Amino acid sequence: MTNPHDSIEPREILASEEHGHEHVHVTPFWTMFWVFAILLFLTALTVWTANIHYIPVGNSVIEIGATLHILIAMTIATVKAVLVAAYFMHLKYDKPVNTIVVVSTIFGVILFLGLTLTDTISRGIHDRREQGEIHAGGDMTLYSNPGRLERMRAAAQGGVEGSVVQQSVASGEAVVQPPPADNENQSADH
Amino acid sequence: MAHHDVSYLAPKETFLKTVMSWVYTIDHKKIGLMYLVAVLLMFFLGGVAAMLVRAQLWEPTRTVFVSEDGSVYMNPAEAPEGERDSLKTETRGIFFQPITTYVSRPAVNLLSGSTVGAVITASQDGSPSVSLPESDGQTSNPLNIALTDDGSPIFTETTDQRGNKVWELRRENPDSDEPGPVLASITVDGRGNPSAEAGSGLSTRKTTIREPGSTITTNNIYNRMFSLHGTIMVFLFIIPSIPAALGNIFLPIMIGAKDVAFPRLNLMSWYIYVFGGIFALYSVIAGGVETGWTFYTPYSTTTDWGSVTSMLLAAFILGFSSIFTGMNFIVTVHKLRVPGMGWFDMPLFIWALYATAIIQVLATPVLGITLMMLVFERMFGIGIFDPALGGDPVLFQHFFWFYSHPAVYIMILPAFGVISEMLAVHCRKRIFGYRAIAFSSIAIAAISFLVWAHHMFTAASPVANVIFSALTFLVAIPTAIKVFNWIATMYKGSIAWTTPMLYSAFFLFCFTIGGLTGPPLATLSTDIHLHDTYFVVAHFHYVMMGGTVLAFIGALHHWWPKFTGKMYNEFWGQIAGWTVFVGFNVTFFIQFFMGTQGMPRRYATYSPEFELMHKISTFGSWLLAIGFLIHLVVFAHSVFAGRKAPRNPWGGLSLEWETESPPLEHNFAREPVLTHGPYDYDTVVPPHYDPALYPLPERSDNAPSHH
Amino acid sequence: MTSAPKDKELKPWEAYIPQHHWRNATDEAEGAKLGMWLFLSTEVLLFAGFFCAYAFFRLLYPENWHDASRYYLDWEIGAANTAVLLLSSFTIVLAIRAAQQGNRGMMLIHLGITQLCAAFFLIVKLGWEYWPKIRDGKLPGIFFDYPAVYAQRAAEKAMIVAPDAIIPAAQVAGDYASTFTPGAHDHIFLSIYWISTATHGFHVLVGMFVIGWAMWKAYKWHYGPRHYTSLENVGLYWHIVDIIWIFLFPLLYLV
Repeated sequence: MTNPHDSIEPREILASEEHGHEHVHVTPFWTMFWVFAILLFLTALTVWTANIHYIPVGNSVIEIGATLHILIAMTIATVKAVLVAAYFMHLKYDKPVNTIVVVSTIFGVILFLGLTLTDTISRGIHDRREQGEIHAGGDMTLYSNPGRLERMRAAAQGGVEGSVVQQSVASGEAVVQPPPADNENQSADH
Repeated sequence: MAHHDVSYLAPKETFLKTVMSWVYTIDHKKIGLMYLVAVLLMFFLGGVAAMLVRAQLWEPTRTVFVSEDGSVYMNPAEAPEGERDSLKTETRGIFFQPITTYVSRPAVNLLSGSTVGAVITASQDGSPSVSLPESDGQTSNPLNIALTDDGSPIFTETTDQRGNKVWELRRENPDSDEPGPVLASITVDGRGNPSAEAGSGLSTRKTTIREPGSTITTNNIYNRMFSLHGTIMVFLFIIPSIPAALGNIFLPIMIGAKDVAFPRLNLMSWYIYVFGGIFALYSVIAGGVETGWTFYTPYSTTTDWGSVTSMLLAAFILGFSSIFTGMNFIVTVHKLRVPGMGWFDMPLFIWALYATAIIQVLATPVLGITLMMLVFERMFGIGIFDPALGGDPVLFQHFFWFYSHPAVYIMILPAFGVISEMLAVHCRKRIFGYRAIAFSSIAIAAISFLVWAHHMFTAASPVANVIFSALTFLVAIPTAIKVFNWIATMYKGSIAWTTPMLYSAFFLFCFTIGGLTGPPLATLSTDIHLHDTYFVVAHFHYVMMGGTVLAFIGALHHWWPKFTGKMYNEFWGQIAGWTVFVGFNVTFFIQFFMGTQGMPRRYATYSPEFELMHKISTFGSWLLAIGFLIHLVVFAHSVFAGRKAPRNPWGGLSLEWETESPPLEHNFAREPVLTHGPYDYDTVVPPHYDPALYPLPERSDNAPSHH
Repeated sequence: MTSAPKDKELKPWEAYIPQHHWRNATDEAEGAKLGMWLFLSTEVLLFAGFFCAYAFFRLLYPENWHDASRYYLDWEIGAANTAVLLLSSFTIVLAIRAAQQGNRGMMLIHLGITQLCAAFFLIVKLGWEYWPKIRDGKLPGIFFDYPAVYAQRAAEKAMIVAPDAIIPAAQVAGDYASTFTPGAHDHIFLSIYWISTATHGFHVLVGMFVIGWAMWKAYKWHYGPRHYTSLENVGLYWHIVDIIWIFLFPLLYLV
């Protein structure tokens, strides 16, 4: 059998040809500007929706619970991320292989979160903790500073051990000083 | 001579330049070869640890009751009624001796003449303590030091002009309640060195006393040994073994590229591996870890033993090395295939490496963040995994296995790839079901992300268990597709019983056993029984060692002539192969039985009924070691005295057999041109192949072909 | 080495030839970009660990989590930082556009704005978020100073209820503490806050270094219409830092 190498020359790379981006897609300015504007608008929208807890409907109100808040915020965040990825990161104009990488990554993240949380939810830790079946543990208040919290609580409830109350009050006074008049509003707003 | 005519192994003009050409190399073959040497070294270290573990189990440390006629009982109640009174206890097993460390502390002897009257040392809080000499087992008080009722010396504490605390030791004064005269005054300086000013008739002498510090028990040593074995074998040997070592050398050559896509990233991956390896070895020297390679919380967050933090950092660093290799391989496969090579013209080893790289890129970062959180947990007590702080240890198991289950496919998928190569080449036959094998690699990579909680059937919720159990069975499908296709490839092939072929057959035998013992572990009801027993140990050793390691050794022989340019001794290669195979099965097959009978893993001791089985297993480990040592000698002989390898000793068709042995610096003198697929044995005579150099049982073109 | 015309001094981006093992520059650019995307996917999965831990503890301690988010973090700071990061993403896009048009001046200006935004982000983070938290003992895990934080909380609440009232301190503490439900797992919220934002902040810092490197290359005429691969990759990295913040911001500060 003849060696095919004898008849075919390998491709040579010459500096003068095909070493630049062949079809440069120059980023359109106004598209990017509007994407940026939409992103800012969506940020404002997230903040705004996060602070709405009731929607009046006629005489009654619809309560927006924590779950709904998370759903809204995550939907907006996803839209923002898609905008950034598609336009700023050029996915819309690139070869599809990059999009495949992104999609499989998101798939991986969903699997990781989804299946881990499936286990967590179906273990029912939260419910069982509420019902007192299991001890959640981890009350840091007892862990890192044994005694100090007890002293505070004792002070708050009128005192069981006199000296301890005194100590707590003494240490509390520095913090609980009423503010000077000119700082008042600022503190109250917090 | 132009660089593209020189073998990549050729030395440079001076020794220093040769060394530097390896240190700074961006050549994938050199990096791969350095990886290969490193992983073999790690295999040796991990193997030594495994041998020590088995040696401890030959005669574990335990207390037994021996009757007069020599019968051994774990529990006196087991002995016959009449013999119980005459039972003697005996401590068996001496392999891992407990280690007691001693600490030396400065001390002052108070001398009365030439006899020591008292020894004064500084205790932890800086105050001195006095011990009196003993004679005939009784504490004596030759200096008549004043003692309290419980026998401890009385000190009076004063302060000298410089503000140092001074303790005065007084003589007892039995005649009155007044304290006696000062016998000696003792000063302890800031570094804990005591000094004494002695009274009349006494003198002082500086000395040191030696007292026992901490003790490392047999169980501690055993824990460290199997953890050392696990961490080294998983993170430093098996994960980089085939992809980073052999894959690095052969992936670019097999797709006709000059190098991987990012050669400098490749070099960085190698140095990160070295750095991580140094961290891991430091952890071993600084005390080792007792957590096993899984670092389960809360033990790993609370244990003070050894150097868990640095071992965690080592695994974290090694993860980056793995990620960079994976990224490099994916881009190389996408962008650097020789013109004309489509996805389905690639050798199956490349498909396997591609699937491996996907897992490396997608799973390893989660390990990184998990280990980082664990390090933070140990350093700052962030409380995410620590139940004492309100965290959840099962969350750690999810985090850990999200990486570590896919990681077992990082370990086994490249082995599948080399088996596909070796079977096709040494059977001289078109691989059966090319696309099925290729897609099953990708399918395994995808499914590997869906099954992690089957390691947690005793910890996770029933709902999650059912889901994960069902998903786990899915893995069996693509894996079985591969095994059936390999067997179909061998059918009516013209098999050359070379060492690589022998190892391929060993692989099929052992991996099938490993695979078939998977479903009992995926089944919830049986897994609850088998969880954490030797059944699991045997299962994953049949998969990891019977699968990956056997394939790796086979692949080493398969490609040895290519990347070293030397042939190895076929006869001794096969002798070693059989020794390893027999030793492996003797070691691990018996462990399935131990597991079903309830022998838990990770125990340093066992009940007497497991004695025979453990002894058989340990005996097998010696055979294994002998087999690997013969391999080592064979390879060493080949390096120093092997005959020169031809270009294509086995008659392979993929591109690596078209270049020189060893390959040139840029792999090919000219960019290769694809004229045939990697498995076209029914239509193509292998290039550069001389049957006289390696006689074949039957010519490939005489073999029946399938169309 | 190149067959470029001799009569004209070529700028580095004009004279660029791919590394030896690439068949052409297009392959090299696309390969580099694919490699970058793979790296970004590892970044996303790295942060997925934080998101998973966040979701887990939010499920476990929902009210505690909500209160802690509201109490410890200021959404104003988070929102300002979000806007700044979005702006920096936009400017780095414009820098790439300038490279495509061969406009070195605009490229440098836009990269400079991006650097300023990154610096603003970090300064706000350190000065207005981290420092007050360190000062008040709002630290992760076992370093969280419960008594100090409770005392501060009590004081603040007392001021909100009756800013003008002159009440003995003990009574303030007593009145407040009787209705006070301790957030027993605030320390875990803060752990996740600290490690996720610190990891993100570290990425911003790394981003500043690579953008600085890109500015240096731009200054040395390495980027132009024919070659701007590494600038593009720096941009991709910067955008992923932005995207991660887009998710961290509402999760930590808002919901």
